[in-house]
Amino acid sequence: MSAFVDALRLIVSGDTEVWKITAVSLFVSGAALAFATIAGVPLGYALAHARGRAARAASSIVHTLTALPTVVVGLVLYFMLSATGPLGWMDLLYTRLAMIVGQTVLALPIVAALTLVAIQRLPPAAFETASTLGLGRLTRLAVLLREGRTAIVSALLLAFARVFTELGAAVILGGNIRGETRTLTTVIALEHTRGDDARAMALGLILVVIALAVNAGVHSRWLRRPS
Amino acid sequence: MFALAAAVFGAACGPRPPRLRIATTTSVDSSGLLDTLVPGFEQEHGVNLQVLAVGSGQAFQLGRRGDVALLVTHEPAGERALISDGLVRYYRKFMFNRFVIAGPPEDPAAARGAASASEAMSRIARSGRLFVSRGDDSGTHARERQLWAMAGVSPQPAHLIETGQGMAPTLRVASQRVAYVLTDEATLARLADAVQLRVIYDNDPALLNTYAVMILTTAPARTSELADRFARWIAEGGGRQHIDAFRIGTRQVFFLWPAGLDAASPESTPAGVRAP
Amino acid sequence: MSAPVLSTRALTVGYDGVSVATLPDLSAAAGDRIVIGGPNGSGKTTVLKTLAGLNVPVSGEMRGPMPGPRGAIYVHPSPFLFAGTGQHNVLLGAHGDAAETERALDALGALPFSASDVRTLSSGQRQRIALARALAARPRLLLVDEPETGLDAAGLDAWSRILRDRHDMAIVIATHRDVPGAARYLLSER
Repeated sequence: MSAFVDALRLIVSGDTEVWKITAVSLFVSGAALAFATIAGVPLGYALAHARGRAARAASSIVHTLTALPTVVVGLVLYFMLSATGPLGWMDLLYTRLAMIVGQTVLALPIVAALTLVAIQRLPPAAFETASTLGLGRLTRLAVLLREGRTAIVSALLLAFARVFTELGAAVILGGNIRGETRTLTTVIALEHTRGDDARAMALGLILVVIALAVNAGVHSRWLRRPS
Repeated sequence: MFALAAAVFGAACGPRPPRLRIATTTSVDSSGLLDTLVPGFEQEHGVNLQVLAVGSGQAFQLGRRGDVALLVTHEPAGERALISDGLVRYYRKFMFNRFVIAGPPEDPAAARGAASASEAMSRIARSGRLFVSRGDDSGTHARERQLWAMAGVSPQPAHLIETGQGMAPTLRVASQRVAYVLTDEATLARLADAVQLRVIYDNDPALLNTYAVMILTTAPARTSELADRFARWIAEGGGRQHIDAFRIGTRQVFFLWPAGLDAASPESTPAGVRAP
Repeated sequence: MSAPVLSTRALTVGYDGVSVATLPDLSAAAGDRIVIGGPNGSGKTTVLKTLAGLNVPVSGEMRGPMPGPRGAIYVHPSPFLFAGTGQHNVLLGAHGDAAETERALDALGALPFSASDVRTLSSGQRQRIALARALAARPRLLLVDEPETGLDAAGLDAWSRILRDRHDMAIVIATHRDVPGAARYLLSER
């Protein structure tokens, strides 16, 4: 309980490093979500329309990948990005970009799989109407995504929550370097290891508040049930 | 929109002052010493110093893979292995402190009366009391295994708790389970109020904990010069003042490597030099 | 006599290879009106969707326009409107042609509520938007499924004017009712 009070004091005191860490967290997870959206939404849409064995296989692979453990993603990318790894020449390890890559890999299957479900769940009349009107590919994509927007927005929300709160990939790929790749989750783990539980708790509180606020904000704007 | 995103992204990931990436053990980081060393060096040299705080085992691995240019470690055997493999271009001992055997204040294993650290460890093992181990291939863990080997005995598996975590959580577990534990002085000093643990044994050269700085041959050429600067700064230059002035509360927990003492081999210890 | 817009021979319709109904051979040119009748469940909807090119026939031959503008347009009995305004929907049918959109909305008397979100419209208004959306595509073949189920009085008026005046298109209607001047084909109960 006293740790909790210390935590509040630390937040109110306006420690600039705390806000820097928060900004890095939001930047990394936000960028990862943006990339996952740009790639994942069209992918899910394409899979929803694809027919045949290959398409079914691809769909179940995408669904399965939503369960990828964060540490394994971190570890595999670590070996690839490490100086002696196949992508070592890119010099990405322990940078924000490496963390973004890792979190994009984690978010992409969620966005794609849930977009796929969102599109599949649309009433058949939506597809028939788009077809009979002879809508071009892009118009069709735009109107059908708009029909599934509630489910797609909640997919993006879920993906964001996953990457914003994950630790495994962030700590392995970012290395928790102060002022560089230190994010809320990696620094919480560090402060706990150091034994500074007030700081860990303060940062944890910020993490929870942001995660919940983003959720609540998006929810009231997009996902409210019609009254 | 896209251009804006690209601009923000570029600014956030883009060029900055020359970067030196080093790995150090968690004990150096947890003590807070780095919080004075890093800004000190960055200000004097205009370098972006990036520190990965990891266990010694992982630090050696990072060095072998060429992911960092420079290591600060406290595990002589592992350091020797790296030197033997021809991976070390520069090696200097630059500071030391002590490991201590800590345990419940009432010392149920009567380890305080032992004649040496290894005898204290053997008393703990034979007493059937719990011992908490880092179990993470850290320098502290390596020293712990070395002491068990010297004692010629080790605790029953049922009496050994491996945390696999850093020093602070390990001390908390030891306190919770009324167990003995090997720790560095600095972390114990910082957690003194939070744990029910006392120093049980500290007066033995076998408990000396020596820190070395190494530059690796695997270091990328462009960071090599920066690594040189940092190593010399910490071992011979301005870094020494920061180390000497560092306190936890009022307590000094790191001591400069004495001048004139062999600083170039991992096995060298400042035995006989009594910490104040 | 102009070339037929639509003609079929021994056409059997159904889903996934399972036949639902067999259609008497038919042929329709611009200006023709065809009524597909029959009891509920006799396959009228399947016939219309097949003629509209949305369904693959089980067997037989069919010649008709592709779905889309200047082609075949199918209108559901309770239509699906895309999220947004009525105007947005009709503009989609017109593929962005604003003048055509305006004309089609006007033909259905739908201009007054075309700027409203479709979620706020009555079922009669929705049906009129859907018909306007179909007209805006200037189809050669218009297929309307049970138009009178949802249409309100104003809509029914507009609809009968379309049936009477639009000689640029063949219209196929699935309905129980009589349509003046239309050829009538009955599907039998399965």
